[in-house]
Amino acid sequence: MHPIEARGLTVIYRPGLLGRPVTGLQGLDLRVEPGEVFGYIGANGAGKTTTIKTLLGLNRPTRGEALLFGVGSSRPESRRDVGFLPEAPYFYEYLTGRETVEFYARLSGIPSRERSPRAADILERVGLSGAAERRVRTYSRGMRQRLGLAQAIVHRPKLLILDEPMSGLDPLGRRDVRLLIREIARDGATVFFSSHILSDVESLCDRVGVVAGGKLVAVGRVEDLARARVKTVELRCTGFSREDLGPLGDAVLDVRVDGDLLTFEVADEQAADRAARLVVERGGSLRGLVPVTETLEEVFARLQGGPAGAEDAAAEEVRARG
Amino acid sequence: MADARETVRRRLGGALAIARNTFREAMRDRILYLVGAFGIIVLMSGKIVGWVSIGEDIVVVRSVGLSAIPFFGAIMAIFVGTGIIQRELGGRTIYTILARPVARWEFVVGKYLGLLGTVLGATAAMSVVFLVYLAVVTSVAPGDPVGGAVPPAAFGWPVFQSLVLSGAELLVVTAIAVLFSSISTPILSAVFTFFTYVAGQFASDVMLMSEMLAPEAGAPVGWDIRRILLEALYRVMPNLDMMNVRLNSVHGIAISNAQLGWTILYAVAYAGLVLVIGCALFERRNLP
Repeated sequence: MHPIEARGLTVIYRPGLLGRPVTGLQGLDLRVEPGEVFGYIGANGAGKTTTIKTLLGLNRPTRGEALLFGVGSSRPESRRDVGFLPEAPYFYEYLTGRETVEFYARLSGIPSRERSPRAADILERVGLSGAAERRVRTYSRGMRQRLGLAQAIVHRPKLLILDEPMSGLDPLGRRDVRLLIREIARDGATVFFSSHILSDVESLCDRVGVVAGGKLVAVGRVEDLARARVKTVELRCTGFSREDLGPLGDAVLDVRVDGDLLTFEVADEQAADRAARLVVERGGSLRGLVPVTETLEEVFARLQGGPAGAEDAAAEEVRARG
Repeated sequence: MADARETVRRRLGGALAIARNTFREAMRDRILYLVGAFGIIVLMSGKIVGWVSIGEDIVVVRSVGLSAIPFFGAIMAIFVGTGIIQRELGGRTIYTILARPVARWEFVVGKYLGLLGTVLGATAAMSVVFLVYLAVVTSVAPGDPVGGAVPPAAFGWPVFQSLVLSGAELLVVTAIAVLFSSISTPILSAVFTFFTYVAGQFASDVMLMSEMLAPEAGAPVGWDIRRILLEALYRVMPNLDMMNVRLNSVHGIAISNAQLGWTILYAVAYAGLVLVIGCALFERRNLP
């Protein structure tokens, strides 16, 4: 049974009574395998949060269906083994960290005798044990994010859904969240998270889905998505000079000389074949031939239909790196 | 069977956890204390009004007190209750709650129970203050020096009946506040709830007006749209007038136990129906 499955999921909103209908999702098909860490990326307004809200039953699908562990998302039972961290989580300001975690533990049906030790354990795990008795209103942004993670995992869910978990965190906070996600995944839980920060997605995810205009436009392993398109080919050789490149004409894009080593890039794989033959014919030695593939950021920008999506992601990445 | 029991346990547990939290939250609302304090001041001011009504001061104290308690209770329900669900939406605290195995109806019912606990708690506190005050006033001037119509006992059964029916009225007003809060903004909810509350006080008058429009005996029975509308309004609006036995209580006249029972039953059924409608409407909403 798949932890997450969406079939032809369409969500159309009508903002206000007289507002024009807005399409949030258009026939989205998605399947997340048990135990994997799945990254969900897309530009602002692409449909990431709408997907998450619909999966959790917070939005009603106009068409299609969303299933968690095979149960329709409109049924509360579908969320029994699910933990959720919303983007910029909000909590009751008057509760302490411990009371907050215990409240969510109670909502998840954890028996009363287990709540207190479980809350203490989780708060320790997310580094908040020292602030457990402080009211949430005194917490910093990073502490709230940690508390959000604590409430999401207090009932040991089999599926963890995180909406922009690293957004707004400092580098240390991001590292801690990354480590926690890895730890949760190692324990066998499935993790589904949306993010703008592509380096986090690359480092954490088994698979990635790219959403644009409410549709899933690509899905696969990070390496497969990026390797699917060879941008250029880099060749390294010795006994071969810059002047010998003449027959390759415009196919040569970039040349660097470092002592005896000549490194150059050609436009495509055919040009790389010709270049390799030329090196050998001229008595040189080929030391290396490396296809240069797209980065995830470039894949993302291409699938978003232009540089705008990548700019959003790059800006977020810069912010995240501080 | 065990599964069904477990489901019921979980559902009740969810609603009660939300109710407890709502109670905690409402108890931190300054408006509650402001309204409560104002209510206590008003019910104590009955003595001042009593000075100008020669020989009727205890009647006035009773009358002011028994009227002020449900009124300020309703004001609390309106002020605190009409924003109770919208605040969760605006503050986004609702997402982490409904992302749990919690049904939307559990959320609405939990909010209702928490608010009801707060309002009834505050009303009970006002009632205790009122009864103590009434006992003090009665002990200073026992009996009615004019006609002896007011029994000397401060805690008589008629006063108790009036207070119980005030609670029944708040059961209904709180449900209406939660219903409007589940579908509308706090300001609109407050306006709608307040008008429904005021209209409910005149339910019997609406029926009376409808009866006055009825054709006289022997006259042909026709369609009178005014009468149909008034009758429809009477059937839909909460009959809060029915829960007002203050005039009887002030003069020490008790209503029958059957009437008390039926009125409470009506309040419970009406509040239940309003909550069912609120839950159904909230169930269909897309959360922003």
